[in-house]
Amino acid sequence: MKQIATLAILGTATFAQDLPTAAAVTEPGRTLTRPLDVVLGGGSKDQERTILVLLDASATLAGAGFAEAFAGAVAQNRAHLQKTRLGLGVIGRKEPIVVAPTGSHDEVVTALRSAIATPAGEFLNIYADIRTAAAALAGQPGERILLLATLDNGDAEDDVEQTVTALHKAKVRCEVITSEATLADSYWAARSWQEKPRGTTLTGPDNAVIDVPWGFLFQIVPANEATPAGFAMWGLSRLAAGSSGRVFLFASTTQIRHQCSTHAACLFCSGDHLPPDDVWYDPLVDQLGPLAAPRDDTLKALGGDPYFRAMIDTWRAAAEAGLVSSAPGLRLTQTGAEIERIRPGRDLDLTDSASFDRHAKRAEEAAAKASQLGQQLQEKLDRIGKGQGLPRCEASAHYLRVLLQLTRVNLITFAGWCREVAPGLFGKDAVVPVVPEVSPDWGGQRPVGVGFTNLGLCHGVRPYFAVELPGKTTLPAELALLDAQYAAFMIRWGKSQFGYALRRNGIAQFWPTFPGVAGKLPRQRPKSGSDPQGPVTPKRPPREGGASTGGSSGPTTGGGR
Amino acid sequence: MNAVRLAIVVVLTVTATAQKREDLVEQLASTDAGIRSRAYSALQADRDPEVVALVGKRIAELPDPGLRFALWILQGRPIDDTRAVWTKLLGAERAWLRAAAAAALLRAGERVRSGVLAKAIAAAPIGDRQDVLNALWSIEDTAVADAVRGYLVADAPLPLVVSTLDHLQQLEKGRSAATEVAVRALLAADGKGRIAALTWLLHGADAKVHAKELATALAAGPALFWQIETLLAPGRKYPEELTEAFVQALGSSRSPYDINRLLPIVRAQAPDRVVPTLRQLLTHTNAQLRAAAVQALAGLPGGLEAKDLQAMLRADDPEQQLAAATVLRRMDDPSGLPVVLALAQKSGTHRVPAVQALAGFRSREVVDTLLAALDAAELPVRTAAWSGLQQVWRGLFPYRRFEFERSGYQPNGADRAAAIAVLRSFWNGVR
Repeated sequence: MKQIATLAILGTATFAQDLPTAAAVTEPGRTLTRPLDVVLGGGSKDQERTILVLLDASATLAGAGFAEAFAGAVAQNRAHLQKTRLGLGVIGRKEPIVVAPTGSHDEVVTALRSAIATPAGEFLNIYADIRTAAAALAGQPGERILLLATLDNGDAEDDVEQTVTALHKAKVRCEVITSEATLADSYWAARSWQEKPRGTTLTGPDNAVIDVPWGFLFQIVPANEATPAGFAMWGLSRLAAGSSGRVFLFASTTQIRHQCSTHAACLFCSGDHLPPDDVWYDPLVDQLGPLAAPRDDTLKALGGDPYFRAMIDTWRAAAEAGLVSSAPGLRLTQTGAEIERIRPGRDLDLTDSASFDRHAKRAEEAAAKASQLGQQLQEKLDRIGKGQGLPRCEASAHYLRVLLQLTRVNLITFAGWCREVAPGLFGKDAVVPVVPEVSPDWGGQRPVGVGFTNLGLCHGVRPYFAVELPGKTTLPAELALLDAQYAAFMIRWGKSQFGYALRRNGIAQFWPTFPGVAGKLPRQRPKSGSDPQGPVTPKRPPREGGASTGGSSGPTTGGGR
Repeated sequence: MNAVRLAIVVVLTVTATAQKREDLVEQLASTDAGIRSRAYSALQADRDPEVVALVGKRIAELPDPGLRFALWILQGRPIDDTRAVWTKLLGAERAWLRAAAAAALLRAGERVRSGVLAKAIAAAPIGDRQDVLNALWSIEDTAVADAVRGYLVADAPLPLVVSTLDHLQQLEKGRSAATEVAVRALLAADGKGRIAALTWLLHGADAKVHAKELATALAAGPALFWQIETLLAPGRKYPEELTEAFVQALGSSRSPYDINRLLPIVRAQAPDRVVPTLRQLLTHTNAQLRAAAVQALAGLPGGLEAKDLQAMLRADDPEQQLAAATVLRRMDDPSGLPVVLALAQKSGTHRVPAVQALAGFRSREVVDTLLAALDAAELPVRTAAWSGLQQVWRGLFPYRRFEFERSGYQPNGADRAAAIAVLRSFWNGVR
């Protein structure tokens, strides 16, 4: 039986090796100049070509200077473009093709300038317009290229495979200029209420599914929402891979700088940190890149991976134990995996009241569970032979192992805070501190709960040995264990997207919360029936991601890979 | 009787203060730069609205250096205090003054001043135009942009052309077709600002042609380069003809500012030349430049290896030692801490940077040295130690709330011993 299982794993490994990867289609660099030069200046002078530029005219693209860069590239490659017909499509328009392919390149440059001058702020279904553009290119002479420029909307998927088929049928190569995705992005998964264009699903991870656990207890923002993936969103990588095209990532220069954290405080520097792992090792990043295969094939490959199976089982158990806010959204089958509705994890109810004793007991029980699950996962991982799984799945499973220990540390700190710190803040026996320390002034209010923030792990775990944290008796040993696991993980995966993800997590810091003063909320709907008509497509809300700019476009790989 | 005496004292004091202010305004006209500068500082610090009235009365007669100070004083006050003076200055003889006044009122929301401002900009003689540009910040107005564009003429000196182009870049949020026409006309006229025009046109389709001519001009040495460098966009790759000029300029950096400014330019242009060029600066005679080069190299892949930094730590040069220790600390390697601790305990010019560097370590090991430095003989050392101690304790004790002023310590206080004893008492309780 064990032999059959091993054979099945080996079979899946071979299957996965044959699938296209995002690394194979993603080009180096983060500028607009290079992709435009490569695409417009590609091919020979005498070769007949038709290039349709399909523009997702967002404010981000306008702000990136796309119109200027395009005009410059057309001027720069004029000689190469003698036998090339250029056209322009604008995503979201009723008639997306604005300028049919023509030899008058200046006409396209002018139309593009005008289109980008009025940027759209809505979610747009780019895939439907790509299919329209593919149909428009079908009858064109020579080599057919669709140059898709979209920094924002790759996450509103309708039917990616149908789009790949349309490109294939029309013999169109899709070259994509886009922003970098976040690693196994969980942003929309955590916001299922978000309105979206009809017929689409909001996704956004670099892989076809979220294959890195997210939503750990006492992490204020999942690292999955702030870690640059090194690759584009899956849908866009898939279009390029399915049409023999390429993906060019873009980032504004202001994004390329280190920040210890976008959401947590840093105790150990004033923004001048130079983490040794900040510059990624490209071969490792590529190795850990996602597949750019159809979603079904990806699920089959992942479901047959022993690391992935161990990780998913533990993730589910952690959600049931309340250590993670969300179950995986995937179900393992005998031969692969299937997508299922994302179910929330158990709520341990640790922060919504001031019952500090009860909280401490629950936290200690949960900490014990975290330890148990971590050890069980480690045992499973130790049993997997070398080379039996995808490196990305292996990294993801090890990431879960470290995060379980980090969650244990946070639960112990929380229990310590409930027992050692909180009673002293409000009890009769509160100790008067020695100056310059002062007692906090709560204005006579009684606490109603517990709030927390994160102290980032960007500098590692070791510096915390010197920091005074609650949980004095048990914490030092658990911090030492976390330090060992953290260091081992960083040695193996540090110079990659997974090392970055681990550093985006943090040790929780707690404080009491007090009742808020609520004002009267405005009515949701006016009484009369003359409701103003809302927009047909919902507006894209601003998003704080890994990008230092906090815009809605993607984050940026460390070191400007 | 006492009330009368008090009233007399008050009147005399007010009169003396008013007289003092008048004297200070008068001193803005002094030919002695030191007197002018001290008067300016005193008037800037004095927030009484009377200063505005006194400056407004005298401003039109002040010679240029004093006039600049007077404008800065007015520009730094609330518009409600200065509106009357600005309105009066709209009728001033000098276009520079009219422009500064109209710009201030336009910034305050008086859109109607746009036309007056445009006319004043156009009327300013070449010698005043730099000052006019300096008065135009935060104004986005088409008529103003058109008037500023008029400064791109053949007889305009190079610094004025560069300032004008910089200004237009901000005003137009990029590049406009109208400015391109003006720049090409400037190039055709072969005026004094020719190399600024060549630099500006490096973004266009004929960049290569202009790059060749610019490279030839810049080959004479980096002096010319420093005049046009603000027109270059960091992170943009320019034609390769310019690579040598950029690399040479980085190698001839005059200050840490130059290094920080040029680094992204050379990095985009010729990434393989950055590290060797910065390494040359490690032996520069200017210690600040050496330290800046170390910091810059530390942020580059392969720029500085740990072994290079360890060698610098062992060098007999406190500047190098501190720079290396700081970079190592930034790379999560605390091995430079003993060196910094030793330097922070020794008197000398390096004690202040050493104490500042020490605070960066956020470690319990630094606290005793910082506490000792609170009683150092030199005020800058005490100030650095006091600021550092607060940073370190806030980092080490995130669950404690501090009000450091309650300790009674002041770096420039005469009796510091009692306050230091309080601080030590806290430390002994938590260490």
